[in-house]
Amino acid sequence: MNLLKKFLKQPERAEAKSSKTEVKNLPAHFNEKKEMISQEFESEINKDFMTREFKVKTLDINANAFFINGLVDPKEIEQFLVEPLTIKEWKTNEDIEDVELVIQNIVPIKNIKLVTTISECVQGINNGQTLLIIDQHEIGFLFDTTKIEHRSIDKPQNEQVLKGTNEGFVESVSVNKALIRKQLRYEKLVTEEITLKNRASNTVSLMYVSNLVNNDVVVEIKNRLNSIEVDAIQNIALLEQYLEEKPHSLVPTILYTERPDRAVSYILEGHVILLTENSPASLVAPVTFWSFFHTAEDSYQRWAYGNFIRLIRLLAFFIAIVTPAFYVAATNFHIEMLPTDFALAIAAKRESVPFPALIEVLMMEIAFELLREAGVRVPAPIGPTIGIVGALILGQAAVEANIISPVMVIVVAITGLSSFAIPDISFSFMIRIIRFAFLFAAAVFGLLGIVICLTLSIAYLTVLNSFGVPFLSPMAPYNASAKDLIFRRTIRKQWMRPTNMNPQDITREKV
Amino acid sequence: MEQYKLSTREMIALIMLTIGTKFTDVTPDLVFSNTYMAAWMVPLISAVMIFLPLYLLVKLIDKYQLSLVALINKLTGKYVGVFINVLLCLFSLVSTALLLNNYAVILVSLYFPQTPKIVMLVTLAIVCFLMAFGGAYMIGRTAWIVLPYVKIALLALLILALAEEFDFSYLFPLFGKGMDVVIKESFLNASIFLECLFLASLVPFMKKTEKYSKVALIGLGIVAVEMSLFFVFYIILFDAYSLVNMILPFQHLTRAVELGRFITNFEGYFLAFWLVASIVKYATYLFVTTVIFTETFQLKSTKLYLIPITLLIVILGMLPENLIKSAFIYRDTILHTGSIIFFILPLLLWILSFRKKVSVSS
Repeated sequence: MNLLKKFLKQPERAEAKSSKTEVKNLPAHFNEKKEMISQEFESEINKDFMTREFKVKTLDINANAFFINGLVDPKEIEQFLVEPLTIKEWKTNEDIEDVELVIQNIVPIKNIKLVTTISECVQGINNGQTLLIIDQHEIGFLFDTTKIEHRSIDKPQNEQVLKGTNEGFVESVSVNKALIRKQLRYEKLVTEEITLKNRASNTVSLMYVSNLVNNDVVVEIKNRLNSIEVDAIQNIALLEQYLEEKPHSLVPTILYTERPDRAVSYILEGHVILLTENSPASLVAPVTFWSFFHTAEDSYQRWAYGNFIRLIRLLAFFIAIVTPAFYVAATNFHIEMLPTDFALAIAAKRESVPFPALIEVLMMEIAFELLREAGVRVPAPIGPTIGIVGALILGQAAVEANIISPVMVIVVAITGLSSFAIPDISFSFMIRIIRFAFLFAAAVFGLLGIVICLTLSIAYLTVLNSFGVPFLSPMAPYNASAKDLIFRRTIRKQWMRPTNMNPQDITREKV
Repeated sequence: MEQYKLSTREMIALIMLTIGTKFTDVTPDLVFSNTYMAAWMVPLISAVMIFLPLYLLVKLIDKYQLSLVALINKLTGKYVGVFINVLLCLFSLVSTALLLNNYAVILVSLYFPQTPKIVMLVTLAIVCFLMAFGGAYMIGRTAWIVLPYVKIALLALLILALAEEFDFSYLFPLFGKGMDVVIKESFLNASIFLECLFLASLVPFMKKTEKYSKVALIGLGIVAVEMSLFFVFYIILFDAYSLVNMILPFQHLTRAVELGRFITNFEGYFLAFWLVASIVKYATYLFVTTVIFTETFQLKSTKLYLIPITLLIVILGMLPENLIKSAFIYRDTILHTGSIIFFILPLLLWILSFRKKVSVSS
């Protein structure tokens, strides 16, 4: 047993690496300081690293500014940093020796931070700030001059609505925060920044309403963020995978949304939103099955219309999962389930097809999945070819060549169409994959196989957790809520927050 | 966390799926063979009869805040307690095995004639094992989710059955072979509702122990009425005399109903819902049996002992040769003994609770 444990034990990571960063303070000597910072950024070969030396007029001493091209706004440095320092003179009775006071008063930049260690300086420059060092002083100043290029605000790509706002998140965290704050102007909406303990010092912003959120969840999220051990996390899609509890599970437990309005509606229910740089989306945690099942539009459309589209979606769920399996089960095991005339028609058409029903379904399903994947990867100019190949060759020609029966085309088409009607990408993938499990179970046990898969799937979902919240709650386990589950009530009756989230305030009435 | 434990809804769902599906297996045949057209009264009279013992039991659970096994242990002492609990566990084990065998035979003979019985039995056992392995929360929550669909399917069946030819005069003479027979059969078949007692071993998984009294009594009422309603339908559609020779009236009913000219064979659709209910049902039995076992011997891991118990159930389930045999064994050994346990055990515990009254207050 011990031997087994030894094998299973993960190789210990070199702890030495992380502890090596001893705190180095800025020296007083000007050139020494300059040299140290330049060395950190490999200034001899790094052409993006800029230094600019000048004399501060008021103090009459040398100063040097450091920044990285492309991360800063050069105009701002010129106009609000170099110009005032070199030209402006500060006339006052106060002590001119207090450098901090002098800088604060001369430089008209909104955010100035005093630093004393090399690592702080380096991190600031990496984030697009400008570092100013001054001769004879063991301090540096970081000026907020960040300007990073990003796409302008656009429509969400994957979560389209007919009715409702059309702004989507973009690849800039400050813009994304602004989009959220624009929709929820509330003093208790807080943004907490967590710096990951990794080489790139990625920052993750948590947004939540402090008097609604369940504090245990915030602590849990922070714990998970702090336990990530990796060099750099480029964007939120990767962060999602570092945060999940069960990486092998087919079921997603964190919601990825591109819509600020959806993010806000979750914030108001007591969820936490995670944002990172370079990601046109946010993560919502914790979430339940219903978050993946719903779209923004369900609530924007009037009661009857919203519920109608939910009904259609529910149908799409079942059709996408069981139709191919049901076809195999019905034709192989339970032919009596079909109306007699229909059964005869299927049999007549299948007479000339040499393959068993399972092979037939598999061929068409694989062809459809190919078509789908090719459609995503194909370069735009040759996109229309896909349609021709799909419609003509796979549909008509395969039937004429007696490879598949005509009913099969309908089965695959309706399955494919239904899987497109599922709003969330992760859920869509889940259904596309689980469909094959149902198919094989149906091939072995007919209807019994389908039922076994269905029951076990539901059973699995009931014990899944997302940050401590059961995945199918508030339905099972039952918790009081506004019953916005498969169907929703009219908006006036949705005065309650779902209590499975443990929000601090369970009613939506005014404070 | 406390709020995610089983609530009254989930427990009632368990009762409605375990007892509320009994009219779909061989149970009706066991009742009909003696009482004929008065069979529909049996569930109702039985329910009334066992109301008192059940009431005493749930009050005791309320009072001591203990599960069934712990309660028996506390009130009857260490040695007698273990003896009674082992008996209960064996009883649950054997009845689960016989019923699982029953279901495997029904499936093989009616829907999958080419599948060997053993394959069906093992498949069912594996699926139920997987679900029981997920624990009480998995079973309870799944029961609550599937319950509406199962019951809607049953309701749809009744509505479709109304379109068939039926005759209310089949219900008369009202007391069939006589009042005394009905009462005697009601007494002997009271163990139809035995799950109300056995599910008390799941009390530790509930939010509030005192809610179990609500669960057991409401559940008993609902399933008694439901079963009686189905018995009435069987009688008015098939006539009590032919029912005596009809082992599975529910399956006959699903074959009899039709919707217009196009869909004449509905049994497949009902099979799906019936299977869902059955899987949850046997998963519950498996889990309850294992919980009784582990609690009796105060073993920590319920999941670990689920494996040998499932194996034992499969082996025992293979013993009876055919449906008739297993049904008869089931009736003679299980149903009747079960009824006696059901009447005696709560009374015994109740009387003993007076003896121990001092220790409770301290």
